[in-house]
Amino acid sequence: MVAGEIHQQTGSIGIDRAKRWLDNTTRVSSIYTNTEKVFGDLLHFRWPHGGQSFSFDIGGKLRGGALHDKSFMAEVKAYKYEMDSAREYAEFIAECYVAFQDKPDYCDNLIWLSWAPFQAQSWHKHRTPETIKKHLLHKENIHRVFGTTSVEEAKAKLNEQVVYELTNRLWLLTLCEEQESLVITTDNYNRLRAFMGVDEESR
Amino acid sequence: MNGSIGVALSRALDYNTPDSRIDYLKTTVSNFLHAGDPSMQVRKTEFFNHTFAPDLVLTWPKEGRERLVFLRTNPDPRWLASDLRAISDSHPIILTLDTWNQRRDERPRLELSEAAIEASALVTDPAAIEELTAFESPITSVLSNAVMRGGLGVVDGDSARAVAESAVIGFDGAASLEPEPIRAALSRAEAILNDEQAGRFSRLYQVVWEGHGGAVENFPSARNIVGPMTSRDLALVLSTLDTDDIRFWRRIGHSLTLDQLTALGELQGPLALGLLVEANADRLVARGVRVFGSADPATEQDPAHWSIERNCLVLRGIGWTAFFAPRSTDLPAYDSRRGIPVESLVSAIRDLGVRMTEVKVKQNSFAISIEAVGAADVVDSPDFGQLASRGGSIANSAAIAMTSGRNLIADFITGTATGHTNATFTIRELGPAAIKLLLQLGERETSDLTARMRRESNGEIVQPPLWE
Repeated sequence: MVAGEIHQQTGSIGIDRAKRWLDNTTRVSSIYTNTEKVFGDLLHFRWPHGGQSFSFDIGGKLRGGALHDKSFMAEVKAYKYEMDSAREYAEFIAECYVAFQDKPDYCDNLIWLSWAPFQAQSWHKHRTPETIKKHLLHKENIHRVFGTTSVEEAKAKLNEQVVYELTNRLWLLTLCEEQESLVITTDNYNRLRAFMGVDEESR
Repeated sequence: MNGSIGVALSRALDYNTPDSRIDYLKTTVSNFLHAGDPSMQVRKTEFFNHTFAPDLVLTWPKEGRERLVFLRTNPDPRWLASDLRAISDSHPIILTLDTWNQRRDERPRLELSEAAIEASALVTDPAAIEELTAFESPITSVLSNAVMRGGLGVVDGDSARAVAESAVIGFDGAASLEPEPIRAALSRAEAILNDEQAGRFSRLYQVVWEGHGGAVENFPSARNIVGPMTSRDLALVLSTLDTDDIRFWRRIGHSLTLDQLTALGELQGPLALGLLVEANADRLVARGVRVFGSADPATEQDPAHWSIERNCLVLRGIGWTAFFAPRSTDLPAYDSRRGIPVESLVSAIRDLGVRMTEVKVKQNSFAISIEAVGAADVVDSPDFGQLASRGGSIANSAAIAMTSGRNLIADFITGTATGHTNATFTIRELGPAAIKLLLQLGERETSDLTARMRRESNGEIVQPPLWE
């Protein structure tokens, strides 16, 4: 097995674990992943410049309470420790910025779902407008997002309203293995069916 | 996956929003499942691809049966096995919307198959549904119904085709009394069905085997055949068999009800239906009968024949139709008719050899009601004798005492014969008497009907109930 394949498999297992945990919260109604032929295309986007594309790992819709009928997309990082998370988070921010402008309906909630925190000293700043702008203007993102390498030009093109929207939509979810099993038990799920409205008439 | 389901599902990619695509997929799958088994209701839930909340709920209201369907966008057997662990208690159907083509390592698939069999869960894909419904053969339709109700293991397109093909060949084998194709068909079907459905499937073959003269002890299955059959199985037997062995039809109808017959939906023509009804006329119970039209005494009457129409068992002669229903509310709306001359009523009562317990007669501007007291017969009443001799009197209704001791009330205005309150009658008791009274049929026609309903079998074989 080559290195790329191992990485791909690890990613796939992480997506599976993340999907399962989200389902177990009972707050997800529909869910699909980019590993699938049937729905993968809905999670794919194109960078505005440079001709490359990117995708989110999981998408779907939430249910219940204030989140009812709200869409979500998630990026999953199943790392045991920080690894390359900081750089990848910056990329994720740029992806959210682009995705929101392309398909805002898919972007009610944009979730960074990982098993390890990163840059914990500045954890409380990860979703501020300043951090978002900093990541957008990062050298790896600036050209594919704004079509320029000039920070001044990019700043002039930067849409503040979109940045503001992202501050309200970004989630940072950090799981641990124990948390994955700290959910409804299989024995109880049948009772949960009624609670979740499965046995009612379809809406 | 290039059959009609595959083509329909591939169109999902034309739907550019998640909601519209999900709805399209669920509707398409629901429609295909329902077309394969119209007795099933399919309900869509608000969930899609959820680990433990189903996408579709299949119900068979008449059987009190339910099965959950989990649609899966990812066909990876390792993912499916993980999901199955969470939902195995409900013995569900997991239907993948994509086909797993990575066959480099068969182990995960084998492990999934073992887990699915252990959990009595079915893991299948559109290609398999396609194969099960591709043959336009009644037996594969029964097979796909059985798979929906109690299929288990991993069933993909290839395995479904193999089971369906052998089912068709085996069914021909049952009709020509060849044991090997039957053995092969049952063995393949049993590998993908739970005990209940495998029993039902085997029993169907056995019914056909016996219907073609095969001895029960020679039927090639060691299986202790149990499990009731459904209306669809009954429809298949009726459309497949044409034996006139009345003993066979009597055995088939051991616990048959009128409700089960009318559940077959519209059914015209098969002689087997008539044989089944007449062989079990003393077992099929109706609330009443309503007639339409009239018999022309000048026309030679062919033997009346049976059908199922408008939720009723129907007997149709030349110019007339009689609807037998399990409940009064199931009878079709009546056409207003005229009463019958008292002389004709008396003649019919005499022919039937029964006692009249009540009559309502209309004469000019008066209506007269005469009721027998105790064991008296209204026909013997002097008042009634006067009415009859006077001529021109019309009877609007009459009640007769049946051999079972209950009164049958014939209402000539609505063309309906029923008992008091909730009284029911066997078709054998109700049919000839009611038709003779309501339609004023001649002795020759009704005696034929009576005789057909009294064909007794000798040495009846006791058999557990065949029908649910």
